[in-house]
Amino acid sequence: MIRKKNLLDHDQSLEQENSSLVKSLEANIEFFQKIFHDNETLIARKFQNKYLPEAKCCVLYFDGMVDTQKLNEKVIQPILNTNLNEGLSIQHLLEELEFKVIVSDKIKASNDLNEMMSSIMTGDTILLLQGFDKCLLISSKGGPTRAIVEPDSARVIRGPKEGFTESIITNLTLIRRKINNQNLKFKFRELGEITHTKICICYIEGLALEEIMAELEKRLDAIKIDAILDSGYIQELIRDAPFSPYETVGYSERPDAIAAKLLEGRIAIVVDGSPFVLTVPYVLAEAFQASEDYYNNFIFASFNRLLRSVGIFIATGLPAIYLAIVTYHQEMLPTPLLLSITSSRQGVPFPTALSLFLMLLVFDVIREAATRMPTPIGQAVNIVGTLVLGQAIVEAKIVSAPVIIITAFSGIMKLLSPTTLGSVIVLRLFFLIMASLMGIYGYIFGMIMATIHLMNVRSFGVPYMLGLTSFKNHNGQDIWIRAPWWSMTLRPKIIGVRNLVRQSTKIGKGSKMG
Amino acid sequence: MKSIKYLILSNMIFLNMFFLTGCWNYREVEKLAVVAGVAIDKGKNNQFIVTTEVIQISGGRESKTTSTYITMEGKSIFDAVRNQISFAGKKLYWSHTKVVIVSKEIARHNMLSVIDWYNRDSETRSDVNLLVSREKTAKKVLEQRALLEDINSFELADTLKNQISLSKAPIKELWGFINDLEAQGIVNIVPAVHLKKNKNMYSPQIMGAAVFDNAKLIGFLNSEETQEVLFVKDEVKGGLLIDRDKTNGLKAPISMEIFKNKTKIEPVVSRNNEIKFNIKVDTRVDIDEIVGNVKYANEKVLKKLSNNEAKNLKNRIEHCIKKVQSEYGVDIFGFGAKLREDNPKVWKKVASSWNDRFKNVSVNVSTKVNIKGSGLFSEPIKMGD
Amino acid sequence: MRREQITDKQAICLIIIFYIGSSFILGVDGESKNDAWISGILGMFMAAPMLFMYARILSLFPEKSMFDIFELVFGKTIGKAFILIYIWYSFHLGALVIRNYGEFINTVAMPETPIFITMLVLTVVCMLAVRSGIEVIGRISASVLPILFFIITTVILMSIPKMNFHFIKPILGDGILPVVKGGFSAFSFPFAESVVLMGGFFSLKTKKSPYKVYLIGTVIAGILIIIITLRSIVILGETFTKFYFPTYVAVSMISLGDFIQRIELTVSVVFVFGVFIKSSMCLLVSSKGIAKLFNLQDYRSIVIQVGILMLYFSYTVYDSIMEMKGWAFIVYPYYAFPFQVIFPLIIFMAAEIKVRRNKKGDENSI
Repeated sequence: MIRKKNLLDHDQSLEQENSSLVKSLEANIEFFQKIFHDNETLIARKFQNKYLPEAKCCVLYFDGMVDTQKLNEKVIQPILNTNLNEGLSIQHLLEELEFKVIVSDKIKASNDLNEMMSSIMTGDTILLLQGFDKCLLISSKGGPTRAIVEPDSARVIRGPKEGFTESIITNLTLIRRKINNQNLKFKFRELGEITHTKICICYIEGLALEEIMAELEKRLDAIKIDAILDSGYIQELIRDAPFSPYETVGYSERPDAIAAKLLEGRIAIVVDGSPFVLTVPYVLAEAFQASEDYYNNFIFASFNRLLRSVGIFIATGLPAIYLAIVTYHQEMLPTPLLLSITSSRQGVPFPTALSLFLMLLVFDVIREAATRMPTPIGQAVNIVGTLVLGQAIVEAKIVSAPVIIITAFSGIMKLLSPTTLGSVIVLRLFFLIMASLMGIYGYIFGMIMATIHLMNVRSFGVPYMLGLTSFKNHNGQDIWIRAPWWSMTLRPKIIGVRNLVRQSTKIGKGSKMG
Repeated sequence: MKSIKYLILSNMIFLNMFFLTGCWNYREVEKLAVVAGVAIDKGKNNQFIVTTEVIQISGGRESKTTSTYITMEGKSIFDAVRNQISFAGKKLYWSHTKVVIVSKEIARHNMLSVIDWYNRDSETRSDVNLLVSREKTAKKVLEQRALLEDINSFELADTLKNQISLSKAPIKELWGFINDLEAQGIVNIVPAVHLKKNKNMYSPQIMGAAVFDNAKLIGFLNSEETQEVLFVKDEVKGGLLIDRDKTNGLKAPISMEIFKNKTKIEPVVSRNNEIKFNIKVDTRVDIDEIVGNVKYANEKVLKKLSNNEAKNLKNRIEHCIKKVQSEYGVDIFGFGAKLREDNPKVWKKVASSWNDRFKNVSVNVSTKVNIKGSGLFSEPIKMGD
Repeated sequence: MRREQITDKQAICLIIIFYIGSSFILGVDGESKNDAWISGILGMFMAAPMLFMYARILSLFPEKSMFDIFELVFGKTIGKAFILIYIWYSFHLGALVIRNYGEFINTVAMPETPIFITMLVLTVVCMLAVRSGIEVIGRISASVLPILFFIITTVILMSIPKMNFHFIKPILGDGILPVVKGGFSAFSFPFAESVVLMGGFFSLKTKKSPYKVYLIGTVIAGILIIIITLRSIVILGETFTKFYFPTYVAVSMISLGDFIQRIELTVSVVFVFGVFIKSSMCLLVSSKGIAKLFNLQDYRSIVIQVGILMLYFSYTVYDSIMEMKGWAFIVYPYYAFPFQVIFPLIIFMAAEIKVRRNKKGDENSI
């Protein structure tokens, strides 16, 4: 905290003692070099016009952040080679350069130090000219960026394969390309008192709810943090129910998913440097939706969606239910199953509760280890972890085979919906503990507690369980199942209330039937 | 600082919950001594001898399920059951018990002393099958080795379950016994089990029924009689009807498989309070075995066949009812219960003296046998000489 | 703070679960043997005028709970006395329900676990729910009821092979008297117990809602209870009155093939949810009453205290399960009569007079 203050003070004092440029080129260059002292990536390239030697110029930029080819060909070359003597007024040389010589799509004369600083730091070039206390800020952003590739976090077989990158402008472009409408609005702001990270609030006017917009802006205004390195920072700073294991802010790496959410009346937050775009408000049902659902046959998509939601339910509950039945309610087991479980438990020293607990931990350890490792090693970890360890642990009678089966089953099930991973792991342990205390009744009480919690959570004023309890009409047709597109004529209520109509008539169905 | 305090406090509560409560009802499966069946005998000095068949599992890759027997005495059934802990070390687990075998002696004395504990206790389940042993002790029946399965009790339960395609023994679950015991105008019949020699060893065979008067055993019915009783009670779901009446010109027996049976008992009360019962039996059968040259494709022959069969059945049932009335004098058919259901006012008058009335109650039996098929063959097999 | 509101659908679901809460565990009555289902129908019809009355009182004062109405109708002093009476009733009822559940778990599932612990867990969950407010309770009911319906119907379908329909006969074999007695017992437990909900339904949407909620809810729950009672009768016969928990025992008889056997645990899920909703509502109402009595801003601050008191009270209220059954079927109908009939009648008449007079007064002033 204190350190940050000092830094900022330093910045301000600089500004105060030398708030504007002077007319001497050398002095100006020195001024910048003083600001960025010990920073050798700052390049100051001095040159002058062939025909007008008084026109001494200097371009300042950070090495690696600019497109050097563009800088050479469109800025330095024209200034070097154009005959500045002809038809240009020397008094307004700077303006003349700006308007007639430099070939750039974005150029601006400025003597505001803050503006200069932020420009040069984001990859623009400063052009200083002898005899002027202003400079030109020339857009020359460049340097290495990642190409648009299919995101790893949400692969699809059917559907667009582009994903967001770390560049905010690219990301906005990707969204803009999906929604060609003048009502798509982008509001920029900077967050992070040291990093000055650009973020952009993106919404469709007339669809996004103003109350949510106001609430979002209020929360963003309240952020006073030194750095924003990823959208994850903002996600946690603006979320509701800060202690809940459930996510109350959505995120996606896919432009089509974000566009779809914008079209449902949600608001997106794009953060520079992060390929994950946030959406608010976020409800639990979204965890079970995948963008592919909307491109596939609706029956197949509904099946997948049911699979996902039931899978998550099983992933959280299966270890607890198994534990409850095997250690409290053995009468529930069919006799042959009881006998086979008993035979697998022969000679196993640890109680079922403990071994389940440990095996679930082991599974997560393997998962965590495999994600951090490079792919070949990750595979090796998987093989050792699952095959060797699983096999050996049963053979050595440390854990019974059904426990391994349950763990593996629950472990695979929880991967059906990656966004709920965190909450599933927490909830699963909670249920397991409850079940080990009171059997199936403990599990039920755990479920009730979880339900009470979920019912209490709201995301930007919207109930978190929205839609999960309704099966009818436009609220429920995109929750447990994905209704066919021709029947989804209305947007979900509450979020999309400002403009409910999605399709004016049932065109698709009509034409097909006709 | 405050939050750390809370953290430690909540942790302590949590850990205490774990350590102090974990052992209440938590029990591992391998710690259970799963009881498959139980036999109850009478010992000396009014003691009870309880024998349980406990499943033994040897673990490992080639797991094997066998069973062992624990016998213990006690002043009451529950006492004997609990005394087994001193033997086996584990508490017996009763939820998967399939059969309860009661010896003749105990059943003659008082059945209630056996079933009360079993029904009342929450560890046991009252939907187990009840059997009465015709052998000297019930223990002997339980301790035989099973023919096809690993565990004798399971085999007994399977045998009982598949009785429906034989109909030579009733099926009685423990709670049903209590139900009929409490109900007015009906007494219990319970399947009887005895040992039969099969390939150098004895194995239990379930056939016939034990007749109770309230909670006391008073006699046994043989398999034929049991089938007849089941016909009246409308509990026949399968089984065979066999016609081997030589007077009809049959060279060899004809067997017919019962597919469906519906029996209706109608109590008729005449003006002078004379109570009569009309019993209508309607059976659907298939010809399954027919030797000789009966051309059943002919409608006349078919009719004759079914009429013969119906007459046969009628005679059997009438004879059976007579026998029960004269020999046992208890209402195993549930005539009284039927009367109570249909005519509670009359029942109230006769309830106290029903047992005496039952002995001479008149019954009108009418039977109908419908032959619906003849297996895969459309004609009898001829001998081409 | 924004006004709490529950939709009619949620309220209906809530009242259904409220009814089936403990009556599923205990069964409706012990007097009329295999005519218990007729008693159920009778009880429902006997309760109908009472329910109309409750609904009328509520709709006369929209957006007000029972306790607000007492003060509005009777003024401070007498109003407070009435508040006290109903705090006691709902508090006591909540304790009884918690005890029912505790005895149930203790008898059938976990004999070795102290009853106090099982009841403690339930009470903690109830406190959580009540602190979240009526809205959350309503929404939980609405989302849970379909699951409960599913379980109940599946179990009924699975029990068809075990049914013996001749157990129903003779209808009215012992004459009409036991059935009427049983009907009275069914009237007071569970149907007229919904008088407690007058303290919780301050948050209905429209003036007509109370009628709708009470009627539809009672009819659906009544049919459900009657079907369940019938199911127990046709499976168990007349002995079903001998069991403490007939529904549970009836379900334990189900066996389909070799695999679906001993599934009674599934119905105990229904029990637990029912008891949870019922005792939560009792806790909510008594906390609300106490808050009103002492003019507290928000009832949430006393939920935990009231809950713990309720838990202790339920722990000490009976000595044994025999006492519990005796109380529930023999004493309770008479004990509850004033709370369910006499006091509401007084309130109803006073409220009608008050409202008429107010109207007149308004007209005169104009």
